[in-house]
Amino acid sequence: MQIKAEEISQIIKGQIKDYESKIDLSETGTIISVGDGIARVHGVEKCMAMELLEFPGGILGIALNLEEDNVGCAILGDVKHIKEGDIVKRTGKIAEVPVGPEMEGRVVDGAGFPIDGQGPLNAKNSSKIEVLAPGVIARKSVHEPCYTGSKAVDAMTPVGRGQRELIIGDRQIGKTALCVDAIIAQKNTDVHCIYVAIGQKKSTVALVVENLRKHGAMEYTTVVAACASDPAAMQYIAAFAGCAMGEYFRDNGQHALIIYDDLSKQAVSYRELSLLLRRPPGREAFPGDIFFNHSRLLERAAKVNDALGAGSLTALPIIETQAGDVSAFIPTNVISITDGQVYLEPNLFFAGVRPAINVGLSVSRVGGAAQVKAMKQVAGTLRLDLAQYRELAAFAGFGSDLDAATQAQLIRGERLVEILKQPQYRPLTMEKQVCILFAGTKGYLDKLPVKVLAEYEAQLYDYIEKNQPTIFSDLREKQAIDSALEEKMRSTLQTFGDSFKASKGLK
Amino acid sequence: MKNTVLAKRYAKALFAVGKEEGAFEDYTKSLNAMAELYAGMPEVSDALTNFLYPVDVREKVMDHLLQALKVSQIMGNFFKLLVQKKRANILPEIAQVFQAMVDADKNMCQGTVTSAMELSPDLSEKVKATLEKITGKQVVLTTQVDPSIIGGIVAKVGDLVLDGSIKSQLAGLKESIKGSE
Repeated sequence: MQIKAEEISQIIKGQIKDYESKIDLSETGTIISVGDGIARVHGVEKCMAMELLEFPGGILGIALNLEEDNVGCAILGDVKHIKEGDIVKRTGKIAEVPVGPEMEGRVVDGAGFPIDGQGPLNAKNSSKIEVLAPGVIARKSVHEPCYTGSKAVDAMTPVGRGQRELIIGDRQIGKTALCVDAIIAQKNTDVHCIYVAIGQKKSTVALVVENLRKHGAMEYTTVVAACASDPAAMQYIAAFAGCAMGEYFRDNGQHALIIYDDLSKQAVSYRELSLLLRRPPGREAFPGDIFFNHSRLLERAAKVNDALGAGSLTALPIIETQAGDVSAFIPTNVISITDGQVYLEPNLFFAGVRPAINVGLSVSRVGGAAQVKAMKQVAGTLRLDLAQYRELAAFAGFGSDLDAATQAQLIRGERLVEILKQPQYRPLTMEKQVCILFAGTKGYLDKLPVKVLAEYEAQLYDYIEKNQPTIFSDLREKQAIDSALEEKMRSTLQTFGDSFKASKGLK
Repeated sequence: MKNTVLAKRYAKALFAVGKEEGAFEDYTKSLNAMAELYAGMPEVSDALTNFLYPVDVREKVMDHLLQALKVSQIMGNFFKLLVQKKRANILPEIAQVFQAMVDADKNMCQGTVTSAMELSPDLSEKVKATLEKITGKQVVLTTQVDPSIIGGIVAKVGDLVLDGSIKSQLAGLKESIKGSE
């Protein structure tokens, strides 16, 4: 492509012509001190809390502390060129970010500016990053499922639309993987997704975006990335900014899923900000309002009532624990705020159970209300079976003489654990999950060796799709297993099981 | 500006005395004169504030200064008190805060107009009237000349800045061309 100097000067000429000269009326203040991303500003007398202030060079800051004779302000950008005595202007705007359908497929920073090099956002709407959560009257109880595509989660700790389900666990055991799968699972549904990356490496975020794009999930996803090298203030507000983007869908009668990856880093950056603003530290040096910080953020995930459009915002916050310590300050806080947690365990992860969900410690307080009948029918006994299996497995290690009933339970448990395993980037639809869980809980897998179950599962889906597609369509439509459907499923599983065994040379 | 809290306390006390005596004018004048002295002659402020000199020496310096300046008795006492309490260093801030307090009491405010060339009297009168309309207060205007703004004027009243200079318009134009790239 050749650029003509002529054309450029034409463009610039147009810009100069269109440039409106207007007298700039602004309220100003002067910087008293600046350092560590915090500036103290004298003046700006009518400054509001959370108002954006403009520093020299167009850098923005947020007024966080309004004191008697100065304003404590967090700078959202490079502080290199800002010095004492500089003039700061009020913008008169409370911190806000662009929202709307134009944000989908984009990667933005914590303040809502695009960082993916795909040009301006062109968003028509913007929304304040700090708004009050819907009140009691504006809400409705969570009643429809929001599938995460993971068999273990959807069967045992179901997430409903409007629910907040915590994903908690140590580093490197698949927390992000579980959530990315949940985003991919929203493909072909009406759920819009927002992935908020807080304090992560830029390479990790790039990898997540790449994977989402590869699986066609970027079309309905917005990524808000406040990386480790961004200022603490940016990391702190990124969660609220992402939430504001999700709220747009909720308030317009649509559904959205937001993932905060992760809130422990957000808490750490808020601690940094608070300490620099000289707010008194409390437990683990976190400020006194760290609980409020998380509760007001997660309260905004809600299911709103029919009069308001019945939209929903589902939140999957992630918390990283240190060596499995769930009784640290931030994990206990967030556990108490959310409607349940999915607990991931290193022992399971390294034993090959992936996703490494500890079924005993994971709960969903919304529970059955967020499951369709078919899922309830197959998953009803799953929890119990697995609990009994774990108890027996601990004892079975001591001796070999076991009665038939115990042995049957061990066999069943082993197979259930096996079918709950799932490879990454392969979320399953509800009907597929129901089929495999049906096979597991009704004993169709008891005769098969554990090793071949992954293969069995893959072939089963193909078989049903080819030979009995009505099973999937019936499950989708009726969302329940009636006697006719059960009969059909049983016979299909029987014939498939026989042919599978024959093909593997098993008796 | 670093000691505004302290300065406010002293200014408030002086203001209360001034209200009783009704001698704001005189106080403001002496305070501003002293502040100017501080700014103009660093040696004076050093002699009054440097902790290396004993307090009685500094008090003597102040005594001499006061005699030379011929300030009223109350202001004299005030300045001496500042030296005694080792607060002579915040005198410029006190002068500023006191001025603001007196202005607020009289519904007045201080404004500055910066222009590239000397303003004609009727033009500066016009600027004053406009500023008074915006702020709703009486404006005491001081004018400054700064050729670096090229043209137009910059008016400043308190925190409010009206910037109509060619310099800032050029900067805005630069930003708008840069921003649309």
